[in-house]
Amino acid sequence: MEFRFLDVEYPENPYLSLATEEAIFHEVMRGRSPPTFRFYRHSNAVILGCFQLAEQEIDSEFAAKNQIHVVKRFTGGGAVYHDLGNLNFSVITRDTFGIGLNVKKLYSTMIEGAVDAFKGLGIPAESGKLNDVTVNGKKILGAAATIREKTLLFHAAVLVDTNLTTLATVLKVPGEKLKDKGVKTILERVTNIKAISGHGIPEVRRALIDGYSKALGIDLREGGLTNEEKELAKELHGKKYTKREWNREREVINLL
Amino acid sequence: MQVSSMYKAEKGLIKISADVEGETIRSIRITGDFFLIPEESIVELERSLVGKRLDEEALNETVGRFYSTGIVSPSMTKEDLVKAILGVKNGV
Repeated sequence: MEFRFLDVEYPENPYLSLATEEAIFHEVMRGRSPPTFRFYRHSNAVILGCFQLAEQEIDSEFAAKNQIHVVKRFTGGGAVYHDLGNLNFSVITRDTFGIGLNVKKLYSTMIEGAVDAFKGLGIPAESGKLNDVTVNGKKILGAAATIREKTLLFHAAVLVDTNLTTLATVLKVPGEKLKDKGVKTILERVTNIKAISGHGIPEVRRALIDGYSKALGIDLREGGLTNEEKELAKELHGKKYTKREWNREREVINLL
Repeated sequence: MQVSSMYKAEKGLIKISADVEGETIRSIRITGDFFLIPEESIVELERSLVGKRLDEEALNETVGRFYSTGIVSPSMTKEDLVKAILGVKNGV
């Protein structure tokens, strides 16, 4: 099967970036866009899961002082910190993989390509309980996924060369009373690919392209956003992803 | 009165904050790093809990009915949700 390969990122505008993600999902769901594999990055942002409250998850003062954008995605799961050392990718497709509503199967199917990719780089990667990939117990990839109208979306953040001190400072550890202890705890649980194998973003990208081509049996063909996707992304950007109710509270905004 | 609690499911945390009168839920908000599909159904779940008593049987029924509409949540079970909601009783 042929997939569109999208290299569309807005590093300084994570709001538009996540609006674009939802726009692609919607257009694939409507059968107007082809199945898609996308790479993108954000220069300085916390991305929250859709059921999270910013005030519970991040050090807002630190975020403000360091101009860290706080944006919510439309999938569940936990908060992540993105800088240019973090590589995001997404797989958005009609369900031609027999997933149904089996979300666990969706994760295991979609994580395989990444595990293979990392192993190809000599990294002893293992898939975790559900939505992460670890090396010696430390997380290098965290993913979130959703299913709607027989359409699948899987997106993941890969720690390649991220500033882990910033990550550990801006993200709160639940239940931790002492900030110092919290930072230490997060730092013990995550690591960068660069620190493990020396590989940077270009090599990880190549490995993921190979890994997913093989694991999903797909051919990636370079493409761009459709006009409909661009229009929809613009609308979602204005009416949802830049709204305080969406990003900071826990309001459901469903435009589609 | 405003009460809140936190519950650790197999994977991830469920955080409940609620306005409770006696043992009856006046309003409730469920937040955390779980997965629930379709996502916007969280609002229906919260709405369906308003006016319900904080006892296991009543909550099992309400949450069970919610799940029977085709909800999937790979990181938590129905039972996790019920336990998380019951957890606010410690603050009542």
